[in-house]
Amino acid sequence: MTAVRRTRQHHSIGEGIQREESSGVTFKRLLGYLRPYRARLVLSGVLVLVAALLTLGGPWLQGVAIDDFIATRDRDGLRRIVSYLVAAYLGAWISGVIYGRIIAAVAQRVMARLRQDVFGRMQQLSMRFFDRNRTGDLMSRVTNDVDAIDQLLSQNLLSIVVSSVQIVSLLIVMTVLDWRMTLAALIPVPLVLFLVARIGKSSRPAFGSYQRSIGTLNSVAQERLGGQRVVIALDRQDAARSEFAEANEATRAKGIFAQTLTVIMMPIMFGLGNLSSVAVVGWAHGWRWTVTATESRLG
Amino acid sequence: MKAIRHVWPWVRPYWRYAVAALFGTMLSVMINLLIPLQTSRVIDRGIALDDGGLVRSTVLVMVGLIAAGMVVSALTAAMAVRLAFNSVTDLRRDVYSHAQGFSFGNLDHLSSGEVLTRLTSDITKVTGILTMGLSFIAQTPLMFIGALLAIVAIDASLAIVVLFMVPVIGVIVWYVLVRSALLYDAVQRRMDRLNTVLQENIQGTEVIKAFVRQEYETKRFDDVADDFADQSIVVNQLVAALMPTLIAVSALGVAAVIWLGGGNVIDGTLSEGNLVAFISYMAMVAMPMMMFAFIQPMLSAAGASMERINEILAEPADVPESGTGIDLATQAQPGDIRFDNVSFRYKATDVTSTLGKALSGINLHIPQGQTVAILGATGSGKSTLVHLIPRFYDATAGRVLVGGVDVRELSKSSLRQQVGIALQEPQLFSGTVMDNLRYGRPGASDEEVIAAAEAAQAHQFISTMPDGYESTVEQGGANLSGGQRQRLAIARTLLVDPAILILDDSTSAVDLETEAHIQTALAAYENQTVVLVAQRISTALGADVIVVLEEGSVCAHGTHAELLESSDVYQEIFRSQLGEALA
Repeated sequence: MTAVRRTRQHHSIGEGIQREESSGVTFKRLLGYLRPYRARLVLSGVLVLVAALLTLGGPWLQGVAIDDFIATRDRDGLRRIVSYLVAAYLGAWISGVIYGRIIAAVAQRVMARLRQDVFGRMQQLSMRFFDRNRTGDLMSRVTNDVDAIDQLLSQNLLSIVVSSVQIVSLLIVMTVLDWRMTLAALIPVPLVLFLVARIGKSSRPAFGSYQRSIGTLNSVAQERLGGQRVVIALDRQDAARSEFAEANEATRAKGIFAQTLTVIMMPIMFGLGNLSSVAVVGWAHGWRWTVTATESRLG
Repeated sequence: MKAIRHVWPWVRPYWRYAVAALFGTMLSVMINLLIPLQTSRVIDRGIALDDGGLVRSTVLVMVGLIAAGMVVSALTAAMAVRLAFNSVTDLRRDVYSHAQGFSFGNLDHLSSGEVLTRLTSDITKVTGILTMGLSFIAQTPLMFIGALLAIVAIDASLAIVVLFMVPVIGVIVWYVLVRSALLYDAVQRRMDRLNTVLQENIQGTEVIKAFVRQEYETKRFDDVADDFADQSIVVNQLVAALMPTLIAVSALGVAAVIWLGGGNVIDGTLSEGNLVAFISYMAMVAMPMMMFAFIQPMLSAAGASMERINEILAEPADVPESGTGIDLATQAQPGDIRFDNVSFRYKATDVTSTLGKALSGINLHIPQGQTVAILGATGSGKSTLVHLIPRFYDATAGRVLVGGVDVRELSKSSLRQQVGIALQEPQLFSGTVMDNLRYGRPGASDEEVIAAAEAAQAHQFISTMPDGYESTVEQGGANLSGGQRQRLAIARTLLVDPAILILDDSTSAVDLETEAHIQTALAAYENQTVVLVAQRISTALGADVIVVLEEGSVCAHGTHAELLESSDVYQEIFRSQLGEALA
């Protein structure tokens, strides 16, 4: 992999285009592709916000239903609050579906435009360029690399936006409802951040070292498989096997270590989140009443 | 999906991790199932009865359960990682090892790129499913059934809401999975078309430029790219709607439970705490079904990857190791070659490739120590003929004997150590010049390496390189000329000091004078049988005997003088290549 990466950087696609571009410039260029869809993107941004608020409104209404109406045996009030609840969920559903559809469509249109532009650019390049670059490399630029950008845009970026909107609105709603409880809910946050930083600190070099060992392994495989006829002719197949086995063995412990650091993060975060809800954010599960009551009684 | 079972032989040695992971998964599911019970207890018994002690103790129990769940889940995940990475590392070693057993016949239809993809991205997909999928598979049914039972136990009448919700979610997930699989097929077909147009354009750039077809081709590409986008939008929009819809369905279920269950609480048939617990269990019923929608595509992708990996493992080596394993080095005349009525045809699957035609009825004896040149036009079967000597392929009919023994009875390794061949494509590896020369015989001394390089007329240019023998050869020998690469490949073969040396048109990019020097140097290797495959007649002139091939058959055989007398084909080749120069 490392070897492949390096070649890619050397033969940047545009002969005339600057090679050392900062990621900022690249990002700006990407924004240029999004510009024609500004209106639709703004609309889906609004819908993301609406969906987030309505999704948060659900558990809150559940809490209200249990605390204020079921507890007080108020059937009419309960009916009213359940109809609000249904409305909120339907609203969240509709906005979720609409922004999902908009983003799916925009992402594909942008990717098509990007592919077409790369192709158009390739048509203008000289023969020398095609002599110097292998067909497979050029093709993967138009297919795999564009797919990677699609992944980034329509999945990673979207989930970052949605999560941040949810977190921010959650905090606002919580603060409005009860600022003391919000503060209490935030108590585990430093612990979470500390753990993430701690594990992240050891997992980054661990992953780096694992990736390097995989890179070595892949170049060993690439060399010997690419020149396999020579390997056969010189009766070096057994040597090639042990060479690969050795490089392969070097990845084992590194992979286990790096991946373990990653996978244990999930249960730890999940558990801490649960602890925080046991402690405070009762209403998110519909028993705000419980905790408030407990607090007042215990207090 | 079934294909993923092929991974079992590699998982088996690590069954202890699998058992630990399964056990851990079950434990953590059970812990999670206990938590809502505690919630209910706090509400109904602690708070309602104003029992502060019970509230405190129950909250402590909950904290304990959550902490235990956290530890168990983390350990389970760590076990799953051990299982996945250990099995997959073994699998990768075995796939590579099997692929290294391939011969030329296998390589004709399996490109190195295909093998490499299976060793990298396909293996990665299998790793992913082993890491995540296993605990998912163990967790889903347990959580689903446990939560369902809890729901029925709490309030059977309310459970009807869930019994309605579950099939709705099931049908939606099923519909989207089936429909999207079909749509993804359509997307894939359009992706293939896009790739085809792209490939045609990159490979045919010269023609397109020559005929000024850029505009037409650009239009064509724009169309396939738009078509691809249209099709992708259909499937991506479908998939994008899945999650909000599933959440909406289960949320509406919760609303129904609050309405109906709230009524039950008001009627006094259900406690508030149990209502809250019921809602928690509902989430546990719905969650595995939603997760299934996301794991299933991963699972089928991993299945397809395992299928592709298995294709490699199931591919039999084209040239199997001999049962008898006779050692060629122990034979009296290891350099003696005999073709006994040999015919050869490339496998039917290779017809589409542009490989040469079959050989038919070849009878030929090359005694030890003789230098033979094989001459003939492109596609006459010269390379094919010499490839049968080191068993790169096996003859379809007849026998090839080396050292008086059928090659199929010799140990492959002993045969290939005695038959040195410099291939038509002088492939080099990245590393130093020295590494490359020593590749076939890592133990050779510096003097031996230099002697071989001198004989191959490579010493001179190596000495002018910046670091001499320690100079770097880039991947594929990109920093050397074709002739230089060929000379390094010859030196590499000479260093092995084989009983039979075959130069498979391996001086084609070398100038005539250097070629003559190489041949002179080769003459010093006494008792070595030399087979020269030649396109140029100049290459053949130094040989003791010349064999002329035409369309897979020997059409003339003799010394230069004899052939000039007797063979029309030879005369014609001679006249066209050298005749005028000599005249």
